[in-house]
Amino acid sequence: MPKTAPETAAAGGDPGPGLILGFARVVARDLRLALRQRGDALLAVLFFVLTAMLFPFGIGQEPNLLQRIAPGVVWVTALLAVLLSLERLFLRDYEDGSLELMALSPVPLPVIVLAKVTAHWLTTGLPLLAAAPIIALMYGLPAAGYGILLAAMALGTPTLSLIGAVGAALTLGARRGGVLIPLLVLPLYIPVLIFGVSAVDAQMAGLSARPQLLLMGAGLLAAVALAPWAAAGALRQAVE
Amino acid sequence: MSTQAAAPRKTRSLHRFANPGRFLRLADATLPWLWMACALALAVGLVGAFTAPVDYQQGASVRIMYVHVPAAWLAMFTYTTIAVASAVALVWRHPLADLAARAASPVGASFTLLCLVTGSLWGKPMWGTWWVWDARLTSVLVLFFLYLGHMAIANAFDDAGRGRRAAAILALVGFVNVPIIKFSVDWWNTLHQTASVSRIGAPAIHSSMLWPLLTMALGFTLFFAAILLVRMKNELLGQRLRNLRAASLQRRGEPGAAATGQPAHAES
Amino acid sequence: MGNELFGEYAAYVWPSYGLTLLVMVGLLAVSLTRLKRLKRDLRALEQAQGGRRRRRSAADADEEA
Repeated sequence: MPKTAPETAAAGGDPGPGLILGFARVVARDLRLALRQRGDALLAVLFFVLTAMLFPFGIGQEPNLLQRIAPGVVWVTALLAVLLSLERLFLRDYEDGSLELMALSPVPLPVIVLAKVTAHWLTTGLPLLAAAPIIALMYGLPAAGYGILLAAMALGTPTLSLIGAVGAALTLGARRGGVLIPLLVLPLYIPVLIFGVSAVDAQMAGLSARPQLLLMGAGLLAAVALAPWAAAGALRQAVE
Repeated sequence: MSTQAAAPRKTRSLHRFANPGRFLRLADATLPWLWMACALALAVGLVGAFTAPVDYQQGASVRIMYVHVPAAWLAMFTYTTIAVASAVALVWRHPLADLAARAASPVGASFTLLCLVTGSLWGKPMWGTWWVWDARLTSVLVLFFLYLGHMAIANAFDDAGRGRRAAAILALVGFVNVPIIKFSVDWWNTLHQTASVSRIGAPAIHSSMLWPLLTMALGFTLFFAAILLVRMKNELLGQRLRNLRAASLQRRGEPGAAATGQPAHAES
Repeated sequence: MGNELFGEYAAYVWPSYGLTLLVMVGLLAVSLTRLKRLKRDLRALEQAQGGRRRRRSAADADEEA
């Protein structure tokens, strides 16, 4: 499967603009579609805020406790909100047949996957990022934690979208596909959760959050390099 | 040059076993020996496990080690086997590799669960609680969920081939992630390490305890090899049964086609 | 040896070995019963089809003749 990119590069001569253009077109198309169905993106954010709101009801409203669990709650609920939005990543294109056209287009499938993931992050990850400070505020996170929390989420949520794309692509056309995605994806999300929470915790303890952020950056780069290929491989089987 | 020359030869030698009939014959010839070797290793290992000296700190509870550690070994070994088989299936489209991956994952999941439960049974007298969020226990728990995901996706499609290919991709993605998950869990554990947790297992293990352990591990591995062959036979026979049923359904459909005026020998 | 078998840790050691036995025997039983059932079904189907194929080829030969 990883043959397509070098092949197009060799055949097309100057594939640079074509690739970028194709990438931009898919992003623009998905953003237009998302704009038309604003409810989907809003739903993820609403889920995020609502779930976070439940924790004080469950464990009590003692300020010290809430402050201590704030990073963990933000991350766990963000993870679940991303999970909720994954099913619609490829499903519509799969059902109306545009996925088959994409697989046949001259733009390599991994690039298309990357474009769709970018659009997914812009409509899910970015709103979560914007809503995270509100939850942190409600949990009384000290001022020092906000910058790191946002930085960690900016690095972590794209990784969640990328890994999730593999799960979403694998379950296309499966029986109970929506129930299957959490089982496939959640174990793979654990490292992002650990480093995301640990970055904020380190900052609050007066330590440097640099190693955590560097590791999350490395994770994001690895996911950008590998996840589109895996998802493209899965998509190709789905449309075969 | 040499790699180019070697690649087709390797492919051909791999595909020699792709013939289901040859595989079935080979499996039937190997299985009795595998079962005998497995029984022998387990018997010797058990004798060793119950005659080995007990740990001066942990007492007789250390005997759990002789089933716990081999189960942990098999949990990891099976996942590696699945990943290798999946790579072979995806790259060379070897039909038996697909079957091996699918046949192995319930076995791997069973031994991962066994590892967790025996670890818990060992942890209760040693740590005073059934479960601690120890790095190793937590990693094995994640591995268990990776197995469950693999099994679920392999069975989630009406088209069995699609399920096997999706499972193969998932196995490879999971295999790349296992070291990352292990590393992150270790990191998390050192951050939240509580002082009351003592470590199981001495850094250096005495040879009187080592040889029963290794023999048990060998016995477990032989058991895995034998049960894998049996389950691969099952997968092959199941495939043949499905094909035969589909063919007989098609044939039953034929008279109808003939009645509508289709020339009977149009297909030949 | 004798004392350890029923010592203070017996309640943890014996269930461990018992569960191991259970897992191994369980896997074996599941796999072997499936093998037996598959073999029986295959034989039944092959016999039925073998019979029909012979009849069918005979009928075809009649038609051609």
